[in-house]
Amino acid sequence: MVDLIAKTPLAGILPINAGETVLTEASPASITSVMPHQGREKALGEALKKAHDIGLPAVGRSSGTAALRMIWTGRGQYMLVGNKPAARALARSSTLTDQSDGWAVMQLTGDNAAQVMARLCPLDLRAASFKNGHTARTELAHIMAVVSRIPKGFEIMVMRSFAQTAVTSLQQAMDSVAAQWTRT
Amino acid sequence: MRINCPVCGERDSREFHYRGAAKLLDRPDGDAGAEAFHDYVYVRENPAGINRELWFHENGCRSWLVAERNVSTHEFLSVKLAADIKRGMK
Repeated sequence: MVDLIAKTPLAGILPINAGETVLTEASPASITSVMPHQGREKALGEALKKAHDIGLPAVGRSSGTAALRMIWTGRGQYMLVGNKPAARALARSSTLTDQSDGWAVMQLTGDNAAQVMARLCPLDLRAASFKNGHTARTELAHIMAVVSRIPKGFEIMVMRSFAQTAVTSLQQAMDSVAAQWTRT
Repeated sequence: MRINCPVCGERDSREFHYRGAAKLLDRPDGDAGAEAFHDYVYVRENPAGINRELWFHENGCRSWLVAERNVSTHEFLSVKLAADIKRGMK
């Protein structure tokens, strides 16, 4: 049997930086989509609490810790990102699908991170309106993305096939913002 | 153009896709005949004023929406979840 070497979506491409802004790849051990069965949101919330001590997040919110986060990603859909979840316990009230290799996860940090995002995304992601625990399924340079607030910036998830395109757009925006800020 | 998604709140229209007239929710029964299906598939009103339209929040919560929009002014009068409207039709 051939011994295959696992490669993350942005291996050899990230990290990059421009001025103070840094883009790194995060490689969570597991990404699982969780879709509650009809009318079973409450049961899922209880199972999640029991198995991982995480509450079911509201629309546009995420819950949990850096080790395992539950992110709202759409109507009737969440993503569990981080350590491997207790799939058996959660599967009684929801449908789970392993998506670990389907997404590229990046972290954009630095004082100008919100300025960079403003050039690519139609939402107001400044700290005053997009706070800790906030998340949004939106678009980044016309690519579908899940954007979450993290302590020093943003965590961005895009489908793996869009990883390099997203990085190209982010790099352009980062360079542009860095040039503007150096000049003033 | 900004669309007030019932799930996500007000969002830029580039996150949405227009998916045709809201009439598409009202599909005739399978035995309704060719005439009824011809109307369903091809015949559309095209008033210069308020239209009922289907929109899909593709780069957002992925809800199907029914929007009332004035096509002369681009004003959205109401946006509702298509699932709720479909349930109400039964």
